[in-house]
Amino acid sequence: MNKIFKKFVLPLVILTLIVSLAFTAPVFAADDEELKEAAKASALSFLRDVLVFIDLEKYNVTFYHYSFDYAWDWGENTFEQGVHYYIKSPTHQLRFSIHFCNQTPYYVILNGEYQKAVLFPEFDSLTQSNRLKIIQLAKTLVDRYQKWKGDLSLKAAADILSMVNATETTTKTVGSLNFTADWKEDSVSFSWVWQVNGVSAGRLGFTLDRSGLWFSDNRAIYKLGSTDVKVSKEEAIAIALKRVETFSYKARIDLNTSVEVKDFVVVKDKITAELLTWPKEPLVLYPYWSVKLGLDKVYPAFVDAIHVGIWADTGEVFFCEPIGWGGPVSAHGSSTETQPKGDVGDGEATARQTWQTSVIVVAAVVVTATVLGVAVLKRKRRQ
Amino acid sequence: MGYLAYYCETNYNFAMVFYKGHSSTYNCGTRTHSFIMDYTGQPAGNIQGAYIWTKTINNRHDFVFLWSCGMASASMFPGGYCNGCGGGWGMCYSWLKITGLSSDGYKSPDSSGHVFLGFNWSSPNFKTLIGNSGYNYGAFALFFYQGLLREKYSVKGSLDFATQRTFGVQKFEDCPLYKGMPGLQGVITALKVFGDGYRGLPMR
Repeated sequence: MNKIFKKFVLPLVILTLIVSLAFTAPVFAADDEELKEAAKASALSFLRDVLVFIDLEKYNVTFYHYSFDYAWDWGENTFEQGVHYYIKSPTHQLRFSIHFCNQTPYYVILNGEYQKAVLFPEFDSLTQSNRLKIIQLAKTLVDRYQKWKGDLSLKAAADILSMVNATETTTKTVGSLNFTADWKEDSVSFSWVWQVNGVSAGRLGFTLDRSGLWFSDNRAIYKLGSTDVKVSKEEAIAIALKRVETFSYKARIDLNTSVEVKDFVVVKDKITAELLTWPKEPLVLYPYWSVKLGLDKVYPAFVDAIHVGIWADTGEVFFCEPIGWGGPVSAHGSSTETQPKGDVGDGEATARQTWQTSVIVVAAVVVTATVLGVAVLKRKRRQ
Repeated sequence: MGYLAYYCETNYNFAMVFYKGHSSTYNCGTRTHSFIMDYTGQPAGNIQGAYIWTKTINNRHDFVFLWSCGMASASMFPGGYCNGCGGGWGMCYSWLKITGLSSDGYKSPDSSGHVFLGFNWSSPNFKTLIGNSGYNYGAFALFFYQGLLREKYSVKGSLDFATQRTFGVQKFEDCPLYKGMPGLQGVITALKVFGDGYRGLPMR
């Protein structure tokens, strides 16, 4: 009985335990009270210490909702959290939402749902003095955020608001910072883009209107992997034109028939090239040339342009895609060497599958080691 | 699709629809109507607005998003009853059975509790890349529904959330999908929101 237990039952129990752990691990993480409480504390700290224009004495802050997920687009082991509160007074209600990437806030919304709450009455009449008040408020917000985050690079962002006449729509570059104030009839958006070699190294931005605030700091999500730009815009266009000479895609013309589409005629006046960034690895961006080649006519599957992605350091083409409109181009109609983020469902499934597979592989190795361990132990005892 | 619409109308208090695919128009002799296409993607597999109108008998569809060309074009809005063929015209009206919706339900939501989303001209393929950070338009749709379902935002809030996650800017009004962008053959296209942008999904 003891032999049977050691030989079969014990390994089986261990195997069952480990495999079940493999499948339930995400649930453990998702329910992790510590992560949740930390996110809630961080949210309230942001509300109290950064959004100082809210007099919390006048409001009742009520927890509303918490979300946790492994972000399918941010790579393995990266999770996002959303924390939502209602901030109520006898007369109106605000919703405060904050989103975290690996526990760092990247997106904050504070607004009066249904616009019954007026957070910034200055927007009712955008006079010069009200615009100045709004800029002062923006400066306070950046100052407070800098202190809260302990991020000295934000001092330059706050300083620009003192240096530039931001009461009108304006764009100004100071050092490596490209600042924009965009005034509309009833709102204003401020943005700061850190640039190196013409490459965006991060963006901070927020919009204010009478009902609230929308605040975004993409530097909390992405890092810049390189600023090497060795390929010029003209070279990138030449590379894209060369690539498209041999490019083809398949367009489905009915349920059972596809046609291969090739021999495209590019119209020179319809060529554009932008220096943008793309994640070569999760959450790390690298500069690339996004070249769009407009075509002479509409090709099958409503394709009117070809989009080519070229790494700005090596000149390597890493995707070549038809730009189509309406229904789908055939699933075989692209040659993306790098998986774009947004093959809906597939990406998520793949990320989860990869995670679970890796855990199962580890589990299988551990089980094998355990069974071997039991066998070795038994042999030693026999000796 | 007509059967499903009818089933939802007769079994539930609230129904929502998301459609992705081809669409086109036809003329009944009196006016232009629109249709979407079934799984074949062919005009022969058309699902006409006038047909949908016969299935939405209890006005239970309150939230419809048709990611397809021209479903929210000015010529198809606000829609209504067509005396020529005796059916509804305009997809928005055929599904929601309501007129008088705000033509900009994002910036100026009404309080109808009904919302319709669609493109006024060409709709981008899901696989078309947005450009920065490796996202495509399919990701925008995905984050829109994550905003609704996971974060419990309204349509407005979910559009903001999807804009932040894919375009990297904080509000939908700063997104090319709202402002308008060059579509098929350079004609400007935009994602339009009709009705009540404060509409969320009913939660249990």
